[in-house]
Amino acid sequence: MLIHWLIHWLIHLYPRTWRDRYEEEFRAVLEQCQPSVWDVLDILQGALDAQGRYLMMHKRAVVQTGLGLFGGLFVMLLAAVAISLVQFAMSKMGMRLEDIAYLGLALRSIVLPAALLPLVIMLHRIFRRENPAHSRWPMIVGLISALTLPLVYLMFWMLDRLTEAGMHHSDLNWLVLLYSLLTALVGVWMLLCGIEALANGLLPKPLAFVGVLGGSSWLVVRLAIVPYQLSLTQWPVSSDSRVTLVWAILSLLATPGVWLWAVWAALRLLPRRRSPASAVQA
Amino acid sequence: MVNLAFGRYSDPALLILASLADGPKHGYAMMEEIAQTTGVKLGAGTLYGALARLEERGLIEALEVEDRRRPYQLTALGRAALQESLERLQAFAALALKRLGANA
Repeated sequence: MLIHWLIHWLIHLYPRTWRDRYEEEFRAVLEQCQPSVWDVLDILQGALDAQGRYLMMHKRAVVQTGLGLFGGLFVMLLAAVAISLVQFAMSKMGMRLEDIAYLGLALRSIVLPAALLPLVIMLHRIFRRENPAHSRWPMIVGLISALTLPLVYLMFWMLDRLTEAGMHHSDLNWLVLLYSLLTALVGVWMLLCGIEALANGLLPKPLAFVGVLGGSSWLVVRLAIVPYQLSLTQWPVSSDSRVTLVWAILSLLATPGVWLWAVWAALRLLPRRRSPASAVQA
Repeated sequence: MVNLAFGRYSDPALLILASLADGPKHGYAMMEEIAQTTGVKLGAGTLYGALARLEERGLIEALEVEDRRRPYQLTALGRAALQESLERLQAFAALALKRLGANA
């Protein structure tokens, strides 16, 4: 029973083009066999082989993925340097260090997805309705979620300022909840991107799984941390080492999800070319 | 000369071509027949990895699906490739046996 369940999900590791061609008959063959652990390993190696062949045959997709990843990294580096220069200039002008830090976070969050170009293209495609309806809504959710990131840091800054001004933490609960909901929304789009990438085979499955894992983890931790934050008598929470540890783990898991979204957006927006031979490619 | 060099899928490919030599078969039938005649048990992942390569090279072709099972058959190119591979194996086997006999 466990082996059948495992095999059922391992088949999802095969590329979409392979599954479109072979999945039905492949499952029919497996139903006639008595699969063992060796069959599980055999299917796993078959999936890895098929993914490797898919990448070799679709070099354009590999190049696009590489460009998306490294292009995004390059943009991030440029942005980090530019933002650091802005912060340095602001510190010379006498602004408070905390305010400069939050401004830097907000600016970084804008370019964090490293998707300025995909964002523009995405807007164009969404409003031109060039995408099928079922794929449009994940893009819209992703776009909204990405744009909430600067808002999240703005609210973080507001919470700190209000606490310094003497407001009691219990008066800020509504703001804490709103902040948590916004960050949870970020987790939702990561999850959606990962699921969409898995379903449509646009990305290698390991990357898609990272997106799903990152989004799920983000959501779980964000939802779990809300009651903890509400029970505290002081904001911010970062002085607690346990929360800091949780936050670090969250960031570690969420960051690959953000990159995944950037690559996903870039690949999603490029036209897919199906040749007659693609039906039999593995 | 048709190349059956499929790396780790070379032997399964040859076994599949030989299995199809006497008529079309679907995947499970190929696995069973190969296991019975050669003792080699091909897993489904290996089988379909080789099938995909053979189909891509034009050595086999898929027929219409029958009750979720799709039979495959040799193409003319596949038949020629199988013939050539077996003749080479036969020549090699004859040479090796001759050497064994010479050293007996």
